[in-house]
Amino acid sequence: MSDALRVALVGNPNCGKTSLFNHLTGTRQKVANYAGVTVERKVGHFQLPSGKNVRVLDLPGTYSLQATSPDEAITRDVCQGKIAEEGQQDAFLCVVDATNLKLHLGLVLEIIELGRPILVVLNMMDEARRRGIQINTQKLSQRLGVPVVETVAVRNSGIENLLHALDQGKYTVPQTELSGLTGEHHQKIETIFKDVVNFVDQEDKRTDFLDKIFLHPVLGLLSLAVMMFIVFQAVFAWAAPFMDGIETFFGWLGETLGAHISQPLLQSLVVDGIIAGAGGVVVFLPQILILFFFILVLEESGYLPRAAFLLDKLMFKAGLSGRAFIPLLSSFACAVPGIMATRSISDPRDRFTTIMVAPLMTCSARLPVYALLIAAFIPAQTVWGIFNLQGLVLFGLYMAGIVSALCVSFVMKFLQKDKSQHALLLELPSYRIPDLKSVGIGLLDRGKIFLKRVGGIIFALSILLWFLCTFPQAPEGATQPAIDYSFAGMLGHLMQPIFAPVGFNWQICIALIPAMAAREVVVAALGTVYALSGADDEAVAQGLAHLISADGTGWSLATGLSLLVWFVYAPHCLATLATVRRETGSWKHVAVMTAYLFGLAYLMSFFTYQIASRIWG
Amino acid sequence: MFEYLIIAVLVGWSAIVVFKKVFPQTANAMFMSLSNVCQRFGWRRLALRLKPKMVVGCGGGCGCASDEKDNKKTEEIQAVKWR
Repeated sequence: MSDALRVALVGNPNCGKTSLFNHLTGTRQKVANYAGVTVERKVGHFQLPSGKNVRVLDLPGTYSLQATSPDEAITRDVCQGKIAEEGQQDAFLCVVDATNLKLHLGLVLEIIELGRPILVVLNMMDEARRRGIQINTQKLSQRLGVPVVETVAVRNSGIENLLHALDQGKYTVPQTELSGLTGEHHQKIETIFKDVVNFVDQEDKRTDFLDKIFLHPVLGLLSLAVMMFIVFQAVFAWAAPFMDGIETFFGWLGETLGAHISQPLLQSLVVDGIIAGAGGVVVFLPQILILFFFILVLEESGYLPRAAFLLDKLMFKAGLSGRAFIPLLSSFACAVPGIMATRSISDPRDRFTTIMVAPLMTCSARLPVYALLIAAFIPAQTVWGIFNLQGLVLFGLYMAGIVSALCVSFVMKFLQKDKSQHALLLELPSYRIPDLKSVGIGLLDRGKIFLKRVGGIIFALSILLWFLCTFPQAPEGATQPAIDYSFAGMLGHLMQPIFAPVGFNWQICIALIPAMAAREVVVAALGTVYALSGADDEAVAQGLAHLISADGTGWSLATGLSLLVWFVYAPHCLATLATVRRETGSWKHVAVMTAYLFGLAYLMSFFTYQIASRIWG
Repeated sequence: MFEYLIIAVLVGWSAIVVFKKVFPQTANAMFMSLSNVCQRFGWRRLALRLKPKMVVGCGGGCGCASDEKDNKKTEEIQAVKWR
């Protein structure tokens, strides 16, 4: 690969660099219809028709080489050759949004001035044509003094032309003096723009019409609330038959495999450890897929930055920057990319606040925990004629995370010395009809990620937990269930007094330990612990939700609610804490975050348990 | 006895997987030094297996790419067949 052609993709945010990168390399880096998705450089490889290898670098979007945030600084440094290992780029592929040429030409001119080989990629040409924007590509190439290629990255159109252009070495050192451009940047842009662009119909009527509804102070907020409501209702209502099917399958698998294994210890490992543990988590796959279906559709449509715009006033009052919206939104999938996305926030104070509250957003790992506890303790009944009560509770839990994040940032605003305020500058993309293929690929990826976690860390932790719950084995003539004599049983009983005020029993205490690796492990751990706690086979076959809510042997409603509230706050994710350490460069900040989140979790669970036990007993 | 052996192997494998996920840096350092030791003894294949792979981001746990590998399958030119 050492003789490979080295190219870098540069351009403004949301111009389609990562879509192009994915099409060129065959990878599936995250793309969405809003700015700031890529915050670090990514490397890929592909081959040209001639067989020559190409190493391509995808850089974070930037409006200018005068960087204002950490992600923009990466692009600036690569363009200026300040990063040693990226210093020798053979060409810069300058990706430009054809629908917003005037804005994007600013960066093109800055890169041209660097005097490095460049090829301009005029992307989103389909959208430009739809809006009646005619661009004379040949004239643009003459004016800029560099070659120009037209593409539609999301539809894989024009990629062949780009590959042939690279193959033929059509990336040149700019010849600006030949193009006859004089004056300041904006004057040059005006000259080029007038010369090469012809508007047949300037208005994007679809975007204008939809913005009248979605950006309206009242209608906008109302439509946002309705959309969120539909999502959470669907998560419970649509997933139920699929979840029942998966649960039945694992029940059958446990019985069938158990009948074929004669060794009692091995049988216990397979049935009580692996199937009751890891198998119990797979049940929640349909709910995760339904939630991500809606998120992907909203991402693709271009609606999400509008939601940021609508909520900016509220976020501003709470001490959060408007630019925090995208990182916080990413945190709904996983806090790790959410925290990394804060690199797009230029102000260090705003960035720190966003990092500290990002784990409060409800990540997808919480969904199996919520779904299990809601199914066990909240009746599946209809309220006010149309709403599913379980969906309402799930909506409430998501809202609890958001409201808590606003409250924490509000407190941090008071504690911080720097009280300066920053206005939100956000580019609103045009609305696009979501591409079903992209949504399908996104869902497939989410499904794979979830199953990979189940087959990896959750599977491994289920085996370890089974081992800790099984050894040492009960002595002869033991009167208690065997698990009471095991390492896990002893540890659980040791921890229980600390968690007694919040209503947790020793089984929950055991499950909380492996859940530090990943939140959804708590479901697997509870499955294993209850399967080994002497519960009868019929109860185990009915599923974990029945076991934990059973009359007499199960938990009280207060305990169930308390555990739900615990998972709204508790930082059960070591990967998140490691990311905070990397992004802030300080263990002190990690310690502060861990302490405040566990403190909040304990406090809120305590109040929930105490109030709920007084009301419902 | 055989069942204890299977359980020991599974528990050992699980412990390594969890250790790698929970303490990635320590695990990387440990496996790297183990790989170096194997290299010194001339056990190259084992050293190669033990050498930790470079990962970025969250290690692929959240959906972002965890390595720089090219995922694109190169299409092989198929021989023309008479149908």
